[in-house]
Amino acid sequence: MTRNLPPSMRSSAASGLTAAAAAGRFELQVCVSCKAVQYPPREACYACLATGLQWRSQDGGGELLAATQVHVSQNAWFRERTPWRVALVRLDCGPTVMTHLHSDCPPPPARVRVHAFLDVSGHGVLITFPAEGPPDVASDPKLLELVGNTSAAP
Amino acid sequence: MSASGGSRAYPDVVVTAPVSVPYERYSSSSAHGFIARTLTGLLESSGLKKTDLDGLCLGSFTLAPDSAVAVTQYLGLSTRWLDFLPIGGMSGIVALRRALRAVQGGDAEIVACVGADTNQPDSFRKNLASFSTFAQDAVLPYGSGGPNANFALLTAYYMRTYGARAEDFGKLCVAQRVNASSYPHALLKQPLTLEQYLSARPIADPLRLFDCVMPCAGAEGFLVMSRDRAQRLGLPYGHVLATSERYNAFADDPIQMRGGWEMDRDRLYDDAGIGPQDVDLVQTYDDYPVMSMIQLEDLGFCAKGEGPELVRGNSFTADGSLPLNTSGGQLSVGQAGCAAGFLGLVEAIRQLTGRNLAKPVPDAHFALVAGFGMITYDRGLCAGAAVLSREGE
Repeated sequence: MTRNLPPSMRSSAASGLTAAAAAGRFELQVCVSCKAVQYPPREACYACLATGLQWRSQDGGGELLAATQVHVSQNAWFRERTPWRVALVRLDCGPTVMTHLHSDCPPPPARVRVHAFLDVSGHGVLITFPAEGPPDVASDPKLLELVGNTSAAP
Repeated sequence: MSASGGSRAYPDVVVTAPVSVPYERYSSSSAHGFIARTLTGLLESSGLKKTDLDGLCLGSFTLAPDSAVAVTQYLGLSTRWLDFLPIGGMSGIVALRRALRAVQGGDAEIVACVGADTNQPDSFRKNLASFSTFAQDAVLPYGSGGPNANFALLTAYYMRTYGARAEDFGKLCVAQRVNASSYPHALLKQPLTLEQYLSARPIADPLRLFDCVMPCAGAEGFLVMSRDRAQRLGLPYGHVLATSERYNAFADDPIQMRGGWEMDRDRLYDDAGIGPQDVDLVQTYDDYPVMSMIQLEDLGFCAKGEGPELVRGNSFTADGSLPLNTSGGQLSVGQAGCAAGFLGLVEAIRQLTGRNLAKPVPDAHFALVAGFGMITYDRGLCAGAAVLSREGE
């Protein structure tokens, strides 16, 4: 029997997020021409249509806009772990990101910090943590499962 | 509206022959079968022959690997005009706009507009997985809640920002269920109480079961032709006074609390020659009740953030104040893929042409229909609307 995993399909444009997460960094694409920060990943700039996008480190600061707990999931791995916390965060650098949400985060509106980790499917994912302190995955058992039990904070 | 009746934007072109193919929770039929049943309904209700149809405008998500062009051979049609609109909740409004101009410009005489989708047991999950690049990369990896998770986040933000309560959304769901009770094709017709709404199982907080539509199979359609042709055929028809179409509006908003309707409503009502106060019935795209509230705000029935007060002050039933989604809307009828983008439009045409299946809105002269949808990432990208009137208005 194959092991259930979170969704592992990604476009080629998204591979940079995974590469950075593997190195412990949160990176988003930035347009070489106009500096616009992009998310979700793409192959051309939404602002000026230039195709030169480069992955650049982001500090992840932002505002927690809204949070939910998903009770009904279409994916077997998540279905075994519902309810699952998800958030929408407006990053200071521009984009709104959908992320996993650490259970220690205060309710919205709140300052938070987004970090990138590899999940157990081997792909980079975004996780929202409280604004202060290091990103402590181990203090949220579900997130610890998401990133694999042996994973340490970057 | 002009002094002699009819439409300034689309003079001498009309909508007629509203058809709804009965919905099914699941179907072993393909989308092609639902398209055939819709076309049969259009021909029966208009007295036309299949060879009279020289234009086809088709909305569908579940035709793959086919598209509209394959359907011409599959169903033996030889049209001289064709459009394919796999754009969900916007497909009805856009089909209407395209067809009106095609007939107005002489590219076709009679355009069949059809929204049709099947729902096989695994269709919903498969559609979700292949819906968009952004959903694949940036939504589904986060709990795989699908659109329910997106709209849970929007609903939570709306409640926090504008003071809406669960009871307000519940009131819309309960009122639409009352409307559905007279509509033969609604999949959900049993009465719904506010208590049942509030105690239903959670789907994605704050959304509960009855905030979410039931995916299903079904189809809707109507015909666009010249007024002369409709009169010669003896068909009751409606005028289209004005329409709007907008994509990716307000892209800098951190979260979607408004749609492109806000950008286009002044021109819409100006073209129509009427305002929201003149509208006798409204068909919103009610994939979630929060979206009905946002559409009512953006289309001028109240100011932004006053949706909850508007809901508390109206009954939304066919014979009450501000009749809304008078066949029950998707929340009670079911969401049959792209047919959901036609549901309100077809119901509005029925109400304005006296071909009611659901309870009639008394003395209905003007209807407003909204289209919405295509959540490829964090918000619905489409916002459309149409103002229709009954014959001679």
